[in-house]
Amino acid sequence: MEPELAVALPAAGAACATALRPRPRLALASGGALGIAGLVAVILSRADLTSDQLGITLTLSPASRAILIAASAALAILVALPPPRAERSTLLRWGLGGLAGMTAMAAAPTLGLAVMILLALVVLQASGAGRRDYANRFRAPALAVGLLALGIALAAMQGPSLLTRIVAVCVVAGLAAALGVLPYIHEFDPDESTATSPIPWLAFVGPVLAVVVVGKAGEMVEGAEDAFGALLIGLGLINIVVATLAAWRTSSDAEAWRYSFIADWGLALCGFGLVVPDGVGAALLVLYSILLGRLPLYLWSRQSLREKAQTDRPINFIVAAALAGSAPFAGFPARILLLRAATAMYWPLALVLAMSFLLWLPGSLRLGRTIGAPKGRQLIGVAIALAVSVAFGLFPRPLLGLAGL
Amino acid sequence: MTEVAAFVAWVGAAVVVLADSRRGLAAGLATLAVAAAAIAWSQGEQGGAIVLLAGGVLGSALRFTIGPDGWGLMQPGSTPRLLFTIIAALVALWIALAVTSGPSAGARFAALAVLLLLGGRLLEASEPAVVLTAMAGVALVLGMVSGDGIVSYSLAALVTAAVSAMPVPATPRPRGT
Repeated sequence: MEPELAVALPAAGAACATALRPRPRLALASGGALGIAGLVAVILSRADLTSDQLGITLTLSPASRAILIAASAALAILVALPPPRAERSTLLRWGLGGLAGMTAMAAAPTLGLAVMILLALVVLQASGAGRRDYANRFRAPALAVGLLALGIALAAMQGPSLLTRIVAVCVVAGLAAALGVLPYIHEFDPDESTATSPIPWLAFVGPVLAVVVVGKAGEMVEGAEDAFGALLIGLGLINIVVATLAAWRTSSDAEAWRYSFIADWGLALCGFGLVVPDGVGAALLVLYSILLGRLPLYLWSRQSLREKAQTDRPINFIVAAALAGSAPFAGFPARILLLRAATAMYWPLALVLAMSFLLWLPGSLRLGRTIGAPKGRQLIGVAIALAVSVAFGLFPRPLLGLAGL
Repeated sequence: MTEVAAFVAWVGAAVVVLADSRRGLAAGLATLAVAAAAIAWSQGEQGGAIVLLAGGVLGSALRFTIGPDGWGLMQPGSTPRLLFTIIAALVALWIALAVTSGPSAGARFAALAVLLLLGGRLLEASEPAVVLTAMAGVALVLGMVSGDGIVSYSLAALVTAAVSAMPVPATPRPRGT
């Protein structure tokens, strides 16, 4: 019963928070209680526990369960310490809606069902009041749904081996379009509310979606696993190089933050492409650091971004170090694992990756300054994000164990 | 039966591509739903076919009430879209008959043709009602191809109806076209 509850409880929380919008405190209390209950259901949904109450077997893989727990924790931190000008109940409403969809995608037995849930999430997000044109908000995620659906349709057909390679292309392209990484970067308006912007695809829904798509694509690309892995690695490298340079050189600080998410996704895609456990472990550590580090830091930096306040205090340099993936923060063991996996697979790739890691430095120094001089709740939030990152950096093993690695 | 249904599915998707207003979009979605249900029926999924038809018809009825007025079929400037419906059908036919093999070439043609047409429509459209109708059509095809029995048909039907029920923000329409 746990997987059903893990979907239903946050969905009910989002519904309550929406219905009680005129009374924010009540919305927060009811949504929060149901959200916590949903998190408990996710924690109890171990991989060996399956449920077929709905006529299909629902189960959460260890990796998707671990990322869901991290996403829930990120939401809890943000609701407890909301960024300036953000309303707690609104954050909770969008977050719980996303969590319900993410859990449903993770529990779905096939990619087809997961893509239908993705389609529903795309429509729900586009229905929010955003600053961009409706069709523009829709286009890239809708393209993702179309590409993934085409991949599923082709995978169900018999044909030459080239067909399986085309399926691999459709799946990787669909994933890239859903996340909003190169070559399908979503249109971005720095002044748009985060919930309706492309950021949730990169930093909240995206991690679970990637774990689900990569996990379930295995059967679809049977016989073309090498091509699938090579596509992910190639796309990852392109994203690393272009996005780290763009985060450094772009004129807008908000754009720089967006590119920094994309650069991290480059690492994660490379990790997923290197199918050895170290590679997957590196990808998962990167996803943890996006959810519990980069996303909260971005949200807490938004007020300074609006005010164009930049400071060079010690806290800014510590944040820059965390964002650059230096020791002892979470990005460091992820990079070490990635290098180890790349060396095991094809050592020149490790060389390229090692050099590309240097590209994070200038962009991260720039982003660290955009945090400004955090005070009050924002300072507590930044401290928590840095402490979590240090804990993950020093003790990554329990996190990898949670994901079954 | 599958071949006829596949042709009807292409007609439905082509209508969605060629229509700009709610009546035309609703007619396209309804035609597509009938074809998808017929294909599911021919594959021995009678329950799934009924559910898919119900979801598609409900979605179509909702689309009939939400969106810009009129049929909006083949408005001036739609010639490239007309050509696209034919080229997409030819490509889908080639893949379904010559490149891929196995039972039910009709179902393969229907899935590919509809995904190509609606995918193209999603990339080109700016009117919210059109985008949502194309998404509803993609959900119907996903129900057909995802292969989870009645569950995938039910979810597809539910998503089709829910997507069609979404309110659409008004889009200013250009004059003189």
